[in-house]
Amino acid sequence: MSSSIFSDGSSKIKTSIQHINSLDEAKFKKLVQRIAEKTGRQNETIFTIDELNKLENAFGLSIDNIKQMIESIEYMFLQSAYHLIKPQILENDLINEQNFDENKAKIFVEQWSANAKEIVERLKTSHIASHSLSDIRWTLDVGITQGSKSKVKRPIAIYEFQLKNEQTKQIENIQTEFNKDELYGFFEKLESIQSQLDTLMT
Amino acid sequence: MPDHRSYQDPFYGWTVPKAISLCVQTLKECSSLPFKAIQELISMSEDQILNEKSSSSSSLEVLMKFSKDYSISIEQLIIIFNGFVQVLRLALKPPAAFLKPDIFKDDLRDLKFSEQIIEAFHNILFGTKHDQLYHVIQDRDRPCLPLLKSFDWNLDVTLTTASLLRCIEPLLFFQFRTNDNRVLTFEVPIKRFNELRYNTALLLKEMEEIDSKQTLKLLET
Repeated sequence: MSSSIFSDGSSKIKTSIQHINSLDEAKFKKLVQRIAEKTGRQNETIFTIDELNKLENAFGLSIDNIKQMIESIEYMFLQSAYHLIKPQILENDLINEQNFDENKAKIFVEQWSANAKEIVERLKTSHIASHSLSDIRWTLDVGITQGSKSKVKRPIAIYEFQLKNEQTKQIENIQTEFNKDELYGFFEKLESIQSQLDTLMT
Repeated sequence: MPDHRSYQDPFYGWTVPKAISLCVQTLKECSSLPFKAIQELISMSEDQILNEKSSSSSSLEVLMKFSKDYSISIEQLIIIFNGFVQVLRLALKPPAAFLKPDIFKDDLRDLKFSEQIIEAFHNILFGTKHDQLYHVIQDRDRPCLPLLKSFDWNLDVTLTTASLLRCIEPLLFFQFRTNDNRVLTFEVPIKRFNELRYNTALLLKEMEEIDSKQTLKLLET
């Protein structure tokens, strides 16, 4: 009975593993490194078409096989992240259950240990909402005179909230103004959120 | 005591605004208009300033009624009404501390308004709605960016996702409703939330310090 964390996808990655085992070690290491850097990033492709073509020449494999191999390696990283697997267990899994070549397995596990924290961090913070707050800008202005009143002293805080649409990557700017009282109210709300966060995280 | 005219400009400016001079002139022409009607026009002009949007149609009805009752043309009544509104707006323009009651009355006398009218204006400007009038002129009648009408938030904890079996990440959602009727729902990464909180505190501190800044002391009224 297979206890591998890859058991769900093992049929898909079987052919890729054969190709991986036949690859030159240095090239494999670079490939895995690159994939580790990009795993978990949303809406980003790991290799451009040009790079894929270069890989075709470098590895002597067809583009389809290369793509499949890249997908398999990425899948293996994602599964490792899902289970937060320890390096030794991962190594055993790869060698015993998935018929990975020993040296290649070592390289993979090395890359996993080095990049695990970042990959998990990226997966943790990936957004699923349609919009997210990407930046906040503000100015503090003082109104000193206006059409209806000749002398005023009115401090106004102007906020610009930048909302990023996750799908289209478009940025929408929302500007709002606050006078002193409104700003206090806003701040108090933020403080109550913070106290909730504090009780949550302890 | 030096005459206030030597150190302070009249509240209506250096020259008499056309709207006011026309008003005074038309009042002279319409001598058949009883003071009671004039009194009503003056209080309508106060309403006009306080309730911009709702009062225009009802004021027009009253003007039409006066026009019929006292056989004065509607144009003349509109000129008189407009002049009254202008007087009030101009009187509300300088800071409240500048325009003392007797200075106000003197300036109105220079404009050649009758004593009864001057008394009526005085009662409105320094009467019960004094604060409300000043507040409306300062805060409502100016260009304004959208204000935040309501701000709701949701703090969830992500326990597990499609990509991670054991996660435990806080997830913060905001919903802003602005007074131009936009509803914005968005996720706030915890890092950005911390930035927002820090910057808001910074802004509040800066706002407090404004009062102590030298250049702005010139604006003390």
